[in-house]
Amino acid sequence: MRRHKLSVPLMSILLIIVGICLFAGGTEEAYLIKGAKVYTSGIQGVLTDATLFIENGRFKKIAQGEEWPSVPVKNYSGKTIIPGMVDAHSYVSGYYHLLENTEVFTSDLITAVVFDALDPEVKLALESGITTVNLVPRNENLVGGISSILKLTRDFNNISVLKKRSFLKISFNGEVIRPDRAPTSLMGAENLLNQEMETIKSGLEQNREDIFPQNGLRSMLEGNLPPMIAASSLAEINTALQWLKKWLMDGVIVGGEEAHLLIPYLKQNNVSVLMSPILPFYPEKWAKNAAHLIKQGIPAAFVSYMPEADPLSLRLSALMLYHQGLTQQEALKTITLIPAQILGVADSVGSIEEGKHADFVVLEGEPLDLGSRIIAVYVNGRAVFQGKK
Amino acid sequence: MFRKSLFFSLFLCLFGIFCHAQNPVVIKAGTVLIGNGNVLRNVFIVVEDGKIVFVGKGYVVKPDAHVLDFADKVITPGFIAANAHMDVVKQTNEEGKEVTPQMNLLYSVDPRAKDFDKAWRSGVTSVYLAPGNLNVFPGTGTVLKTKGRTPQDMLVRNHVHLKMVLGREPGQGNSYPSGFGPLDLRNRRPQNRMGVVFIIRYTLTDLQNKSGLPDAQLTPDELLFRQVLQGKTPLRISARSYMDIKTAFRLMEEFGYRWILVGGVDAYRHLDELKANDIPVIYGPVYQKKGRGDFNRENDRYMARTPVLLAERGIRFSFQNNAESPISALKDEAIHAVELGLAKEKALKALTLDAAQILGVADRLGSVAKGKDADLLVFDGDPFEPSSSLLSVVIDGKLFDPNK
Amino acid sequence: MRRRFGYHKLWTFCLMILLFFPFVCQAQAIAVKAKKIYTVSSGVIENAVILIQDGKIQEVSTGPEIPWNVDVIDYSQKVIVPGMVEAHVARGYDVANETNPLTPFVTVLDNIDTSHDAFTSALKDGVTALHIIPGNSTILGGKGAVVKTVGLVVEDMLLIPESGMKVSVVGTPAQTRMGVLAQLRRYFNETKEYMERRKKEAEKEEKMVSTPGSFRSPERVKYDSVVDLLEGRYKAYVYCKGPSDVVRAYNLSEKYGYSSVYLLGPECYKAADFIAEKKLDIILDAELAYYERDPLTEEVKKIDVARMFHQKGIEFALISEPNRVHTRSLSYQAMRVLSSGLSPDEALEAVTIIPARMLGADDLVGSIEKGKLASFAVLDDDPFKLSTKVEFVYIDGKLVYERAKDEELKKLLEEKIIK
Repeated sequence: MRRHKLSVPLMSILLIIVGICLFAGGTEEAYLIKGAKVYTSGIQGVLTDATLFIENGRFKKIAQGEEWPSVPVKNYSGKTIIPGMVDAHSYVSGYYHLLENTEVFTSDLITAVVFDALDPEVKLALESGITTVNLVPRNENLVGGISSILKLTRDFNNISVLKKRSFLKISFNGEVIRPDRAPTSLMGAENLLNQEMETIKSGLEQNREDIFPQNGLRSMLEGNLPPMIAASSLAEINTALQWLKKWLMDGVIVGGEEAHLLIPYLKQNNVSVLMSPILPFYPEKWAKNAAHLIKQGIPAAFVSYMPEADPLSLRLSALMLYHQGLTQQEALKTITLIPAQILGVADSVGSIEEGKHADFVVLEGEPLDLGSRIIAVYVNGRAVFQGKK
Repeated sequence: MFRKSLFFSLFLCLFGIFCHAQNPVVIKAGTVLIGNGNVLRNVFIVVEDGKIVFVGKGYVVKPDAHVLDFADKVITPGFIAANAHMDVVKQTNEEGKEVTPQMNLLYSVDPRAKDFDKAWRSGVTSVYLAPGNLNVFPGTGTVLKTKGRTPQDMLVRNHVHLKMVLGREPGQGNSYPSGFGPLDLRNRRPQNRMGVVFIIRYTLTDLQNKSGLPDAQLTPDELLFRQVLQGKTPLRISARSYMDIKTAFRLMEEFGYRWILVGGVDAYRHLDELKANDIPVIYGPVYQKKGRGDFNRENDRYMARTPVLLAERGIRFSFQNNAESPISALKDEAIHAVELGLAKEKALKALTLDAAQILGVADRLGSVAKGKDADLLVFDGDPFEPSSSLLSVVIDGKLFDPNK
Repeated sequence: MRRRFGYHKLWTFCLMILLFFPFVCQAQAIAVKAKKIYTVSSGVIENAVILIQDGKIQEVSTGPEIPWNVDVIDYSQKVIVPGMVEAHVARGYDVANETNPLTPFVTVLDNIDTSHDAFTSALKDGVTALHIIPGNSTILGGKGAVVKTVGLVVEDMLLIPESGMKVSVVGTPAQTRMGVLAQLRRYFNETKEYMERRKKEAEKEEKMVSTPGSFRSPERVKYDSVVDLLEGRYKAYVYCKGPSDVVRAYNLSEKYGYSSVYLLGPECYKAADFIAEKKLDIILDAELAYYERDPLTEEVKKIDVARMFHQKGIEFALISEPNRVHTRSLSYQAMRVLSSGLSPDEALEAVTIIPARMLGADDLVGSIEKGKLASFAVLDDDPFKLSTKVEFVYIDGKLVYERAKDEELKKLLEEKIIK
C-alpha cells in the first residue's frame, strides 16, 4: 500500500520531468546553429559567425554573441548558410500530370492534388536546396489551371501547402498555338481568352449557376486570384501586357526572355517577371538582358521549370547575374526572397529572418560557387537532407 | 555672391537643357518633291520633336542649330506601303473561325524582324499590316512606322479598315480531301466563292436585322459590323479577278458599305464603276506572272498599264507588295509603272500622299508639309531612276543611314 | 565541131554565173550610222559607222569609206550598244534540275524551248546572247550552251554549243556538303581512271586499226562530258551558296585541274578577299543586297555586295531574275549597280564583255569591234536611263526586233480595254 502511495507521486514527477525535457528541447524542436556565414537575404544582410536559434520550425532569433538557452548546438563553422530556395514555377513530381489539354480552358484544376512527395524529383530538388515551390500547370493550355505553393517534403503524410490557390496560369507561349484547334495565332489566343472572360463576366452579372466559385477565371475576375502568364518573346509579352492593361490587373510574367525590351511597359503595369533558366545559346546575352531588367528595378526572379531544367540552374542563373555586376546578396535574392515576394509568401519563407519558417541550406563554401557541395537542407527546422561530411 | 553665381549657372544649365530639348534640325533642301505633285527648290525644312514645323524659304538659322546640308539632293516624303506583306508576325491567320473581325496584330509584331529593316532601308517608312487572307473577315489593320523598339512606339493608327476577302483564298484548305479529317476544325464553310459570299451575306444581313438593338446589346464583333454598315469604318476588300470585284460592287449595292479595293488585278475592267463610286484601289503587284492564282484563264489578261489607266481616270490608287515580292521592291513596282507610262509625280503621289489618304492618316503622313511627321527620304538624284541611291532616311525626325 | 565549142562556151558561162552568183548575192554589206556607239572595247565613239559584212563587224570608226553597194542604215540620232550577254540563265527550258543528282551527260540543247518567254523578253531588253545552263540543285547538272536570243531551231542559234559543265557544291536541301563533295570527288576519280584506261586501250586499238571509241558505250556516256571538263575543253560553272563553298569549289578545281566560273549566292560576299586574291571569275546573285542580323546584338546590317566587290577591285558579271520586280531584266540590274558606285561604263562591261570573256565567247560577242558578230541594240538615248527604250536589235547583222512593230508591247501599252 505504501509503495503504491510512493510510486504515484514518483511517477508523476518523472512524467513531469520527462515532459519538461521533451517540451524544453531535445531533438529538433529547438536548437542553435553556430559558426556559419549566413546570407540572410533579409534586412540583416550577411552575418559572419552568426547564431540562429530555431524553435518549432521557425527562426526564433538571429544574432551574434548573445545569451542563448541551453539547447543542442549544431556547429557549422566554416560553412555557409543561405535561405531555402523558392522556385516560383515548377512542375516537380508532376510533369506528365500537369497537362490537361483536351480543352483550351481548364480553369478549375488545382495543382496541389498532383504533388507526389515520393517522386525522386522531389529528392533531387531538396538536395539542390529548393525548399518551396509554386507548382504550376503546363504551358500548352490557354488557361491551364490554378497553381499551388507548397513546401517540398518527402513525408507524404505531412505536406504543407502554403497557398492552395496562388495564381491562375495563363499561357500566350508558342505551345498554345496549334494548327488543329483554335487559337491558331497569338492575337487569336488573346481574343479567345477575352471572349471567355466576357462570357463569365456577363454570366456572373446574370447570376448563372454553372459558373462555379472554384472557377479560376471567376476568381481572377473577382480579384481573388492573380494571373501568371507564360510569355517569352517580345510579341507574347507585349500581348500579355496589353491584356493586363485591358483588364486592369497586376500580374506575373513567366518566361520573359525578351522582357528587357519592354521595361517601361512592365513598370506601367506593375508586372513582375519570373525568368526562365539560362538559354543554351548565347548565355552571355541572356545574362546581360536579365541583369538589365533587374538593374532597372523590375522585380525579377529565376525559376527552374523543373524537370525541364536542372534545379542547379537556379544557382547557375544567380552566378551568371553575379558576373554581370550584381552583388552576391542581390544575386541570391533572385532565387530566395524575390520569388517569395512575387508569390506573396514572403512573410513565411524566402529569407532567414525572425519569425519565418526555418528553411535553410548549408553549403561547404560560397553559395554561388557551383563547386560548393550542399551539406544539409532544413525545412521547417527539420533536416530533410544530410550529405556526407 | 556664391549663391548668386550658383543660381545663375543653374539657370544657364536649365536654359541649355530647355534649348537642347527643343533641338530643331534645319535641312537645306535642293529639290523637295512634296508628295502632292508640287516641287520646291532651295528651301528649308525645319524639324522639331519629330514633326515638320517649317517648309519654305526665308528661315533664319540660329547659330547653334543642327544643320543638314542636302542642297544638291532630292527630298521626298517617306514611302507608305498601303498594304504590306511582311514577315513580321509569326501567325497572321486566326483559323478558329472564318469571321474574326476583332483580330488585330499590333501586339504580335516583332520590330526586330528583317523585313522592317528591308523596308526602311529602301525608303518605306510606314506600312499597313493586317491579318492574312485565310478568313472571310480576317480583322482590322494597323499603320506602323518601320523603325522602333516596340510596336506601340511605331504605331501611327490602329484598327484601320476592316478587311474582307473575296475569291478562293478563304476557302483554301477548308475541305476534307485536302488532308484534314472530317472532324477537323477546318472542315467547314467556305470551300469556294459561293461559301465566302454566303458568309458575308449571312453576317451582314444578321446585322441589318439587329439594327433596332442598341449598341450595348451587340457583341464586339457585331459592333464592328454595325460601324461598317453605317459607313464609319470602310471595308478593305481583297479581290483579284473581275468576278470578285463585281461581287464587291453587288454586295455594296445590297449593304451600302464604303470600301477600298486591294489587289484588283482585273480593276481595269471596272474603271467606270470605280470612278463613279469613288473607290480607291491598292494595286499590285504591277509585275505579275501570267496565269497564276484564281483567274478564269480565258478571261485573264494581265493589264500592266492598270496604274496608268487608274491615274488617267482620276481614281486614287497606291501600291502594295506581293507576298512573293519583298517590301524592299515597292519603289521598283512604282518604277515599273513609270516605265509603262505613269507620270513620275503621280507615281510619287501614289507612294506617299494617296496612300496616306487611303489609310486615313494624311494628317500625319504622306507629304513634306508643316505639321506632319518628319518622315523624309534623301536621294542623290531622281528617285525613280534605279541608278539613284537613297542616302538618308529620316523617321520621326531622326536621321538614319540605310547603307550601314 | 565549131557548134560544139560554142555550146561549151554557153554552158561555161552559165556555170560561172551560177557559181559566182551566190557570192554576188552574199556580198551583203551593211553600214550602220549612229550618233554614239558604246564599243566597250575602245570607249564611246560619236557620229560613227559600223561596217558589217556577212554578219561580222568589219570596221568601227568615224567616217570610213562606205562602198557604193553597201546598204546604209541611218541611226544617226540613236545610240548603239553591244548586245548584252547574260552569263547564267536557268530558264528557257522545262525543268531546271534532274532528280538524279549526277547527270553530267545531259545537255540543255535537248530541252531548250525556243518559244519560251525567256528568249523574247531578253531580246526586247537588248540581250543577244544567253548562257542557258541547268539549275542549282544537281551536283553535276549537265552541259550548258550559249545561244542567241532569236530563232526557232536551236542549231541555228548556237554561239557555243557546249559551253561548260554545271556543278553545284550545295546540292538539294536533303544533301549535306559532305555527301555532295564526296560524290563529286568520286566521280572525278572514276573519270580519271576511265581516261587512263581509254588511253591504254586506244594504244592497243591503234595497233588493231579500228575506230577508237567504239568500246564501252555506257561508260562513254557517263564520263565523256567530265573528260572534256578535266581536259580543259570547257569550264565548270559552280554554284556556291556560302563563302566556304567558294573555297571548296576552288580547291576542287585546283586538285583536278579544271577552270571554274563561280555563281555566287548572296552570302558569298564574305569570301570577297579570297576571290580577289585568287582572281576568280564570278557571277553575282541577282538580289545584289544581303541583310544580316547579328544574333548577339540583334542589329541588322545591309551589305551592298556590288559596292563591296567594286571597292575591292573585283570584276563580276550580272544576271537577272525575271520572277521578281526589282531584278527583272539585265538592263535593270545594270541600272541598279550604278547606285552601288559603278560608272555607266563599268556597268555596261558587267553585262557585255565580262560575261563574254568568262564564257569564252569574247571572240564573238561582248563588244563592238572588228571581227566580232554584228549583234547590237539600238537605243533612243544613253543606256541605263529609265526612259531609254530599245528600238532595234540586230543579231549577226540582221534586224531581229523592232519596237515599233512589237504587237505584244502595243497591247500592253496602248490597247483600249475590251469589256
